Amino acid sequence: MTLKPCKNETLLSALMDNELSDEDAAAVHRHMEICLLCRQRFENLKQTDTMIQNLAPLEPSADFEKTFWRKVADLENRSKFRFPLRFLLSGWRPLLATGMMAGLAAAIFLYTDHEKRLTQEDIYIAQNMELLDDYDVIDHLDMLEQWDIIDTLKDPS
Amino acid sequence: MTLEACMPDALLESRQNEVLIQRAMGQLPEEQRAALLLRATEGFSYQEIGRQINRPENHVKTLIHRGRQRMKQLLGAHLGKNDP
Repeated sequence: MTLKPCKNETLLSALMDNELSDEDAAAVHRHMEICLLCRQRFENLKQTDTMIQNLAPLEPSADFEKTFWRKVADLENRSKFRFPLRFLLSGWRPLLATGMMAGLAAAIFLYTDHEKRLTQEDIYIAQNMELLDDYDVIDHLDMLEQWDIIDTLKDPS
Repeated sequence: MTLEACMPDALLESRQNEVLIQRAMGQLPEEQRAALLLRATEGFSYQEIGRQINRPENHVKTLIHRGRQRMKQLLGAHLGKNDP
């Protein structure tokens, strides 16, 4: 297999890091003898790597350990309260949830209770809606009690 | 009088370069930065780095190379390095 650092620049990084086999490393070296572009790229990679290697190690802040363990604890707590029910059962959340449920229940109760506040008269009217159309009949219903007498009066003969 | 004003020019320049390099490292994607630092500062092999960041060796090779290229781009303008 022919190695082509020109097309696969990662070979140059791998050569610099001694991650190529002896055979592959030799092939890349032979290529760089004739390819100026790859030589320049290799040099640039080496310079960049040297800069990074010469970086002074960052000193952690004084409270690093405390901050670190606090963040780990936060992550653990977050994973514990994965389910909404468990989330609601911590701290002030149960009170808030109870308040919301009570408010919802009160709203439902008030709304449904209002609709059921019917008098007996309302029920009687609803049951006899057809009769209301003939109000006169109902109003003078007592006349029908004497209908026999009225009927005889209509035709004296 | 500030601390920087008391420092020799060479030391000041070196410190400023260090800050630039650290900032450039901060701009790398997390995996690239991790792979690059593990290789450049700790000297781990690609296989060891792959085990630590849970990536195959070929992927580590690409991460490290791209990290170096990105660092070169970020630092090139500041440090006068010319890309071929």
